[in-house]
Amino acid sequence: MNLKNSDKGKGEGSNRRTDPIWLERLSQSNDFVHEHTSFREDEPFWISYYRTLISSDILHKDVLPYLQEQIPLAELKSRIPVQEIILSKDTNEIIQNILNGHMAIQKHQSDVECLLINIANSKFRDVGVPNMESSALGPQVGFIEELDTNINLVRKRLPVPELHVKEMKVGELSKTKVAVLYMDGIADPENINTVIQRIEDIQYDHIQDSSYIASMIEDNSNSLFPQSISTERVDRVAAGLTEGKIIIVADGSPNLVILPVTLMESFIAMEDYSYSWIISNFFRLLRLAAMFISTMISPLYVAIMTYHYELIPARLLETLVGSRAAVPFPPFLEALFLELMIEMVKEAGIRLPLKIGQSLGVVGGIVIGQAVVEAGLTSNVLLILVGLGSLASYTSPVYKFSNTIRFIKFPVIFLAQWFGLLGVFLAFQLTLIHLLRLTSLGRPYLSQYPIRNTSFQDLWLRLPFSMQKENPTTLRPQKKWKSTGKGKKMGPANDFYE
Amino acid sequence: MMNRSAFCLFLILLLSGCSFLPTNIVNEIDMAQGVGYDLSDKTNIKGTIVFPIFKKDKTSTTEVRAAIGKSSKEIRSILNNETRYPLVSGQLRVALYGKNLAKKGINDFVDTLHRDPSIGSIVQMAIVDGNANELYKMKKYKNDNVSVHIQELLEQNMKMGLLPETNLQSFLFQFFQIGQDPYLPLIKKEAENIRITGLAIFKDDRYVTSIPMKDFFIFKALVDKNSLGLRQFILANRDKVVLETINSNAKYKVNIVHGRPEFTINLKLKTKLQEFAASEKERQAFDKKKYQKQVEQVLEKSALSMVSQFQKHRVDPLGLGAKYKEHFRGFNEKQWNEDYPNVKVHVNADVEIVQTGSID
Repeated sequence: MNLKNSDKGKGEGSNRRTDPIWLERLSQSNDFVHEHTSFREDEPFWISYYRTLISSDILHKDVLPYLQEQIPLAELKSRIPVQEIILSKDTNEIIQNILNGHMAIQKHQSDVECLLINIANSKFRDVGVPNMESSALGPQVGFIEELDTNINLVRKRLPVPELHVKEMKVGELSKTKVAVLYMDGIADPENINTVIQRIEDIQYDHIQDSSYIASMIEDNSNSLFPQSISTERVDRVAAGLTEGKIIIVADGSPNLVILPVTLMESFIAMEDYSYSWIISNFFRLLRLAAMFISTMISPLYVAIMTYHYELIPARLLETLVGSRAAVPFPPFLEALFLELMIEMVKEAGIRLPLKIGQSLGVVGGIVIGQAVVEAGLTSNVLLILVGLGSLASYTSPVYKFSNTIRFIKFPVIFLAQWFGLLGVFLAFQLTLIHLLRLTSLGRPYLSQYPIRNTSFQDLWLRLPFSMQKENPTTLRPQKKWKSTGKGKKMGPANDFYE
Repeated sequence: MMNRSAFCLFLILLLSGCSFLPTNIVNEIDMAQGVGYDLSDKTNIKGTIVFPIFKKDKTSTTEVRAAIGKSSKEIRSILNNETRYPLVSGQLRVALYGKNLAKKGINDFVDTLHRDPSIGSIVQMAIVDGNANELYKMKKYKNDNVSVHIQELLEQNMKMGLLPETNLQSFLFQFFQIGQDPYLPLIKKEAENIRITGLAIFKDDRYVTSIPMKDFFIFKALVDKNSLGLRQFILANRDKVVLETINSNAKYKVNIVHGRPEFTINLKLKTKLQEFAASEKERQAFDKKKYQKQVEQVLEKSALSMVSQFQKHRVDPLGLGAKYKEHFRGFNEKQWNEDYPNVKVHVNADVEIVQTGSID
């Protein structure tokens, strides 16, 4: 190719003719290339692109061979075998597209009009196993950082025209592509409009992850409880869509956001549907119990050991009191110390690289824990309880929620120290009140009251598939029944309210 | 604003160190698990408090401390002067009363048990034939928790054995119930062992008499629902039958004849034959009907003689007065107390031998 770099000639040339504004603005960066394809000034063509954004493979194979003849841009458009070609005069559009990996072809350097060809380099990691939400059974496909691939994964699972995608750009600087997915005819239009409107209203300069959007459009951003589920599992997203939930996809984020959700959904693992319903009910309720154990066990220890010694059964007295006999701290400091230590070990384990992280688990869990008991700083009963509680906090299949559980026990420990069991009860009541008030997209988050029939088909319990007939009514789905067969009543599910 | 949040943070840190309520950190209190009261002299009593001392290496010991005073809380405050940590009563398991004290009335010392909210109502109570202090001080139980030992001894006998169910709650109920007198187990130190020897029967809160072990079976059947227990009957011709109760039910009927109450106790027992030794050494099948009849007669006789014993001592542990009061509006306690020794009581036992064993 006869390419002549424009950088040298630009200095002299700029005196006698004016470059279009977009060219002037873009050429400030060093990775911007503005070249001429021929030796002669008046012959075609001038091409410009960001070297770092494009795929030189496509440029050399599919574009440059067609730029030898002098033909009008419109004809060139039909010749070049690339999918996305736009002929544009709009400065903003041109800048935007070049920044997204298009190349611009001008006839003359001073022309505003140019042909925009998408030759963007789209190298991303392959679709892989979901890392944070692994499961033994079920599909092992996780989302990746590219929006189109993610939507493609969802479309493969729901190949129906009712799956609508609405794309938007969010972020003044990041210009992140955000897509809202929903099932037309199932999802409540009110929910869809709320999500779209809230995303459109976002005024923030950069969106790095879908979680940014999730926390920006939450009903109550001061709540400890996530009012949406971030997931990298394709099956969870597809299942949510069919129930009438709304999905938010952000470019550059492997996590998709599901809205609206209820508290209990944080205890649902997609694996539940791979087992017999009896077994999966057991595991689902086990996770619920684990949440209570995790949040209540060390506060209960503090409360009982500090105030309510009369609650200890006679046979347990020796174990509990004996283990605390030489501990110099009150139970509160003992519990706080151990809980903070365990949280530090967990936090360090997450931040460290994998290989070091493994040895850290050994150091933190065994060495420090054992040494602390040996040194008589805490009782070994508490070590067991804290270990159990910390184990239990990770049973939730939703990572954000398990972090909530990790955090929530600390205020309860303080209340237990101040008021004893009354404080633990107070914490429970306050949490319950908060959860009852909390909404996700205006839908009740706890979904406990009023009691709905559908909450027992597949939320608190998982009945066999033959008995999961209705879509969850709290979502106000347009389609009431999950399957259309057997002459069942069709129509909107919310007739009760109208 | 900054000042205020800094102040709040300071407050939180400050408060977390202390607490709003008085604390009882488990290893910084001495938990009394057993108390005992004996008569010391005419006006004073000797109180004994037993509390365990737990060590990290599980070699816990039991401390027994005694002091002489006029009330139980006075004794506690005297004893507080010699314990390492404050004495608390929330873990109380057993309360023992010396027989001599019980003869004078134990209400003053039971009162504190139900006034203290940290004491539960399932505290076991017993009367000691002898000295409560000596019982607690037995060397054998120095390293074994003597109060828990007594508690479990009583509880297992109530659950599986012949001892009628009693505890603080039942004592208080019977004590405050009009027309009923309480009863408590009677225990004794016998040859370096603690054993149950009888059942102490009270008039109000004063020990009056006791019933021996052999009457436990019929007494438990009359006062407890679904009482279990084993009893040997020596019948006519010296046939020996051992029956175990599976299910029992005693129904009290009150009839008013000529303005005076008459009681009929219908006792239904479903039993299991545990052992049978016939006097005639002949091979024969177990004649169920014959022996049922004979057992019924024995039971009726022993029940009647027990009731007449109660009437003689003017005590009413069966609560006949309370049953009469339920049925008769014009119940007069004074009148009843006068009538009681002469009230007619009939007992109809209905014994059914449901199971006769695997070989028959």
